[in-house]
Amino acid sequence: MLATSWEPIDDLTWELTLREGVTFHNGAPFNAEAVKFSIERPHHPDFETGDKIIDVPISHVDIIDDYTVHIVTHEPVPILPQRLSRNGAFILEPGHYSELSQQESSRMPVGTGPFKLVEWVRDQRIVMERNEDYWGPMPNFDRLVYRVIPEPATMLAEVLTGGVDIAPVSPSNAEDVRAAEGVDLIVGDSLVRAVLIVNVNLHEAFNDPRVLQAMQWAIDTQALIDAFALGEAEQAVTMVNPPNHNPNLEPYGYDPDKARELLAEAGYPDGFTVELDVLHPDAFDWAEAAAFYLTEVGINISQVNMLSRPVWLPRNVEGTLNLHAHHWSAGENTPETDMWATHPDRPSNSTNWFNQEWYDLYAELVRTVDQDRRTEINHRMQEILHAEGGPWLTQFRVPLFRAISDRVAHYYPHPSFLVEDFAQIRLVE
Amino acid sequence: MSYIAQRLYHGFIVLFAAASISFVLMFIIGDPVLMRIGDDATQETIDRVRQQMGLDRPLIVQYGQFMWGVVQGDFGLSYRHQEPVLGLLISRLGNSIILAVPALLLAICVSIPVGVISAMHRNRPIDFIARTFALVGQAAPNFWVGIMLILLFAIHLRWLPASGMGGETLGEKLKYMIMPVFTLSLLTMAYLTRMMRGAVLELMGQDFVRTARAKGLSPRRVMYRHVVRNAMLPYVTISGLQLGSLISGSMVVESVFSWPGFGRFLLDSIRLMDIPVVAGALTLVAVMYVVLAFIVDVIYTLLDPRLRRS
Repeated sequence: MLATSWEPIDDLTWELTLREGVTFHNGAPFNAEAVKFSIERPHHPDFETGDKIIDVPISHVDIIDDYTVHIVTHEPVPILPQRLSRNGAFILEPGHYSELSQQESSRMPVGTGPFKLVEWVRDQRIVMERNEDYWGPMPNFDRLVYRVIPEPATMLAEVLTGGVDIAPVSPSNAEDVRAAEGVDLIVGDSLVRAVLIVNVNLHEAFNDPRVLQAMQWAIDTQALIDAFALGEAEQAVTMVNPPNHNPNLEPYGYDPDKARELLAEAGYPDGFTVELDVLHPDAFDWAEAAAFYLTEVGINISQVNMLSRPVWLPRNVEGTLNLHAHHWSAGENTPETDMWATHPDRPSNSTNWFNQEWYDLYAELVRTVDQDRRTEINHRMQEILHAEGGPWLTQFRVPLFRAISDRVAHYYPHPSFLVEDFAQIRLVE
Repeated sequence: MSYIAQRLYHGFIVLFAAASISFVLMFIIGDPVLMRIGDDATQETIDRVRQQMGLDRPLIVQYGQFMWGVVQGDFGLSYRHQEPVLGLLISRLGNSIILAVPALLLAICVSIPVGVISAMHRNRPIDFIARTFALVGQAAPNFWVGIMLILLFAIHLRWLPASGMGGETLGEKLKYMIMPVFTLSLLTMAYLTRMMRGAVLELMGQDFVRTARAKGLSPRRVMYRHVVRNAMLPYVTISGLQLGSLISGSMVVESVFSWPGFGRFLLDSIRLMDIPVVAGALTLVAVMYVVLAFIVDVIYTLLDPRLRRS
């Protein structure tokens, strides 16, 4: 971490103390100047792409001394540290990045990490070399090569023949990896959720919480986890990941009779018919199984549609998807970024779900710095989601399966899926 | 000469149609703006990017700009890579040609002798073996053959690297090429073998062959001088066009062997809706086919004097 401490000094100001003695790959020093440059950069009007990946209302950054900065925001941002540690919130070397256009610099990154870019052959490989000036513990190998292998069967062959040392594998290949010699299977936790999402505008029945509850009781989520995640996941209650989840809530169990009762109570004793869209290729298998469970209690899934990204993106924004299965995570692990998923103001919220109390609480949560009050609001919001039954159903965090060669130690996949900590890896002699 | 002029004119019409179709195809699915910036952008950002990409202009204007660009070899910038499309495509095309040309040569070297021998020994064991091989070669799916080869030569025997395009020396580079070239070649090899056999068999029953035999020419001379030479006419056409499909249609082989070629690049670009790349690739494939067809036509006129007169 490039900051050694981070404290709010008032509602709109955070004080960061920076690590000393760090240099960029090009030899320039890491200091307050670089932090100011990087954080303010996307907020300049002439910033080319306009992409503000750190979604924070930044006002400006004050340099107190070489290793202390004050980050000033327009509104209170209690989760600023999490926002600043996500993928994309990188500290850039001001000289390098102000000389080159955004297009050029995106191909020649200069950072402070344990490896520096040597070669990038598109669609083939990225070659990185150890940064001898790295401030942290050093990896014991010189080069790190990323290879692009589009076909999963080929990837597996490469792991088995020693062509690559670390590779993602699908659950269906996990047994082969376990059985193979010289290769181990490791399973990591992730922030990515497998989720069945209800678009409440799709059918009038979805406006009745009893129908959403019935859907929760109808699906044997534990069976889905056992079959499609090899039992390596836990059922989640709401979209808020640990440690921010409300520990007092229990997930809905599997009780098809209760589901039928609730449907009858809501006025649908004979059920109804909808379609199911699948947005992520890895979600297809469990979504088909979930469709079977729903059909069993009378919610007849007439069709399961595998949609490609170009097809579902516009429909997601329009809010016209059917019931849909997806794998999703926020870039940060905070209650507000997790729950932003079903917030009415989010452009890509596909649920059309609304609850006034929940909406007001969200507005309070994002401005509240006090931890106890934040927990109180966060837990209450999750209670509402849980009581309503939706609009997110049947959730579990998707485990990350990796095949690693016996000569690699201390590798663990990062739960965000978006970054990797390569400095921790050691080669075994 | 008028024959060639007519061919050129047809080629031009095909290219115009191909470019137009590739432009239209791109507007059928999805929204390129969302593909570029994701679904969480504000309306303001969406509008600005739409304008930057020139997608706010009337379709007819976009079409005119696109066609004018095509004439100049300019297909615009790739959405994904922010680089000129033509350069990206040409580098991938080079990687595909490295596989396609040896694959075609291999197919030719095998199919001509096997096809001729098979026809000469019709319904004998050697013909049966050749036909079985050709049938299996044509029926076996590429990805299956590829994976089976990897299983045998990379995992069990450890003779060859499983995938990728690598190696420092020529020998090492060739090792990476063996399995993809063979896999890619198989279908064409089988197809050309069947074709050669069929053509030879058909010609062997023709009057001029009987006449040649009656004149007392040796069977060998009849076969090579009269039969095979005539059989080459359709063979040249088909194998020339096969080169086109070997270059542009090798997506499966390139995916299985992680070969960074044209087919895989096109596949990725379609999946990610990189419109300029897809449009450029389709047009380029059309150009390639028109050029190949033209070359085949020219060779044809050289082989068959009758065409030169008409």
